[in-house]
Amino acid sequence: MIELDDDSRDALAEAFNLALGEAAASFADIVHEEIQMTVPVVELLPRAELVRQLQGLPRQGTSTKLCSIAQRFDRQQGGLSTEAVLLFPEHGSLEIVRRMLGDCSPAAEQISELEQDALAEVGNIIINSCMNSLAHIFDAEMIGTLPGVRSAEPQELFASHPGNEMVLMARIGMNMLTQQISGYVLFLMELSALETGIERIRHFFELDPTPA
Amino acid sequence: MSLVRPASSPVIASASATVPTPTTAPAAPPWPMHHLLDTIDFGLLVLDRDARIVMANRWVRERMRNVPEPVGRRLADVWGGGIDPRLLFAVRECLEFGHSLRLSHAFHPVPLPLYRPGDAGDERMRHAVDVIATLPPQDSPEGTQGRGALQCVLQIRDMSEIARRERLLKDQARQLRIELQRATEVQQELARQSLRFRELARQASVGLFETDAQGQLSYCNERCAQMLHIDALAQLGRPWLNMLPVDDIARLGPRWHAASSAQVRFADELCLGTSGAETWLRIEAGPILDAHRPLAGFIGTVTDVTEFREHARRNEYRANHDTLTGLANRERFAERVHAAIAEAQRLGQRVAILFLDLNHFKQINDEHGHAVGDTALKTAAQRMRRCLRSDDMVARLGGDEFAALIPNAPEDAGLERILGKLAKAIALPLNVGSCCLRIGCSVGMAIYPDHAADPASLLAHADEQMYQRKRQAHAAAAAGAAPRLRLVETAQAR
Repeated sequence: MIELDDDSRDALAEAFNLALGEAAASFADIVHEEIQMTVPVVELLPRAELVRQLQGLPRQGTSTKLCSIAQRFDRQQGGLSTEAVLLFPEHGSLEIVRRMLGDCSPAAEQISELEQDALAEVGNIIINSCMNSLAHIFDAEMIGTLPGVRSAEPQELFASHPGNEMVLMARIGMNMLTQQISGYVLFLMELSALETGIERIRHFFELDPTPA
Repeated sequence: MSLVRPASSPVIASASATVPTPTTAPAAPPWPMHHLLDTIDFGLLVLDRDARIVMANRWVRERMRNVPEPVGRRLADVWGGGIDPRLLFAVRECLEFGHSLRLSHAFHPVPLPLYRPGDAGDERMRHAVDVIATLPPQDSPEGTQGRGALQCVLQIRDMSEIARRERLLKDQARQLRIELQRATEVQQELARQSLRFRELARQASVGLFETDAQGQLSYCNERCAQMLHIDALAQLGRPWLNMLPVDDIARLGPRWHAASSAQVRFADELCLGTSGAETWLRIEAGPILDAHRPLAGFIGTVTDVTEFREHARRNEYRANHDTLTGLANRERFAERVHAAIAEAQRLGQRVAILFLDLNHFKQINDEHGHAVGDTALKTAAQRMRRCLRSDDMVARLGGDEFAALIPNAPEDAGLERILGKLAKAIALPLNVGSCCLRIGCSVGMAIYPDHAADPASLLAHADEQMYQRKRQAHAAAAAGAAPRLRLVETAQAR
């Protein structure tokens, strides 16, 4: 069982904190609105536990769906791959993007193609900012794909991933002028990649290597 | 919420296609296959690690305007300051960190100065750019440069049509919202009106009913059902006439059908109940007309007019009768005389008018009081009625003056017999409690057509004759002769 010790966890939280701060600044430039992000809480947990947590999120309206913006990152030399996923409650994500686009009309049920693209860009900025910090910690160049957007129930989101997959989760809160929306930044890693990753983290923070 | 990308939307950058792993041989075509990329319906710009353009497909070239050959130049060298700074930032981030970035159309409507082919205007084409990090084929010149030799592919999508369509959809959605709001308000007002109508109908003191255009009952309030003694629910959907008694259906049916066919108002009255306990109902129904629509149906009312009719009857009676004696009054008498003369003219008959005056009536009033006087008048009236036929008419003209109309009058002898009978009947003793009275009278007569041809002249003639006879009687009394008609005699009560 892989566990993050307190030192690693604190270091990761600090890294995410810095990265998300950068993301918020990029964001604010685009949308001309101040966006505050809470200090992220970092955890390492199995996928099933993650799904359980996501299912317990407070509902907005009748929808329990989550909106996910996902990008895959691969180290050029291989051996370290991760899928970075940003999750928002469906209703909240639509509110964010519509506010950013200055659309004051009541939210329609269907997200339009342009709104979907805009949401992809928003997630793209946050994920890339985080990945910058993480790649720096891993000391690896991670090549990323374009973001893909989908909306699904929590249990359907990771159906194609292996059951024993561990997930590095950073929970963040996003505060806009009138909206308070909790989002999650997740890094889904296969076990081997995770081991490599943790080794890199410990190395970066000059901690002792994980005992064999 | 649905997150669906149209099938036609170009996506060339999937995780597996753009990020080759070291164990997978790159399958991308070498750049000599540029001509194939010229056939695709979106723009492609390939930038090397120094951000210089190594390939621009035909789609991009057709949309460039007044710029130098792009290959070998950086984006800023080709388009100058016309580029969204965010795009330059994205290219740098792509080449430095290997990130792929999406510049959404919503936030960056025109990242590059591109124009629609054939469009001479200055308006830039709306588009979106995906900045994709990719590794060049290992056997290409770029691929041999080793780690860090990232390429940047700009995938450019024409968003004009999508933007136009979404703007249209948003406008339509806004319009629909406004209309929905209006419809909701109208619906709420209708609901309020409906509630108001139901409550009004429930509390109404008249019966209300509604039918469709064919006269089938669609609504009936409680009062209506109560007045017609029907089960309202059982009558719904049936002709409204079925609410009425059978005899009335037969009587009113043809009139209703005529009125409904002509779409005009229908009104009639009917009587329910037995003699002495009748209820008179007035039923009215009018078409619900709208200038722009066919006939919607009929709205009807049922009103209890029993009391109204009783008042009208009393008023009419008062207008035509003397309240003390119950006889017809002067006006009513004149009308009947007029009608009788017209009838007699037509049939060649005679009409007799009698004028009768009670003798010494003033004296009775003075000596015995008005109550006795009234009793004398009523008794005289009853006695006159009894002496005449049912077709004859007796009227009180005022005071102690009476008149009688005898249509289809007999010959003179017969008339004289009637006069004698009248005088005798009136002269019968009248017990008024404190005394017994005998009342005499004087009678004059006029005959149509012998004496006059109009009511006023006939009455005047009869009046004159009555006074002649009265004078004769007085003269005879003064001479000691027995009067033909006996004057008042008073006697003590027994």
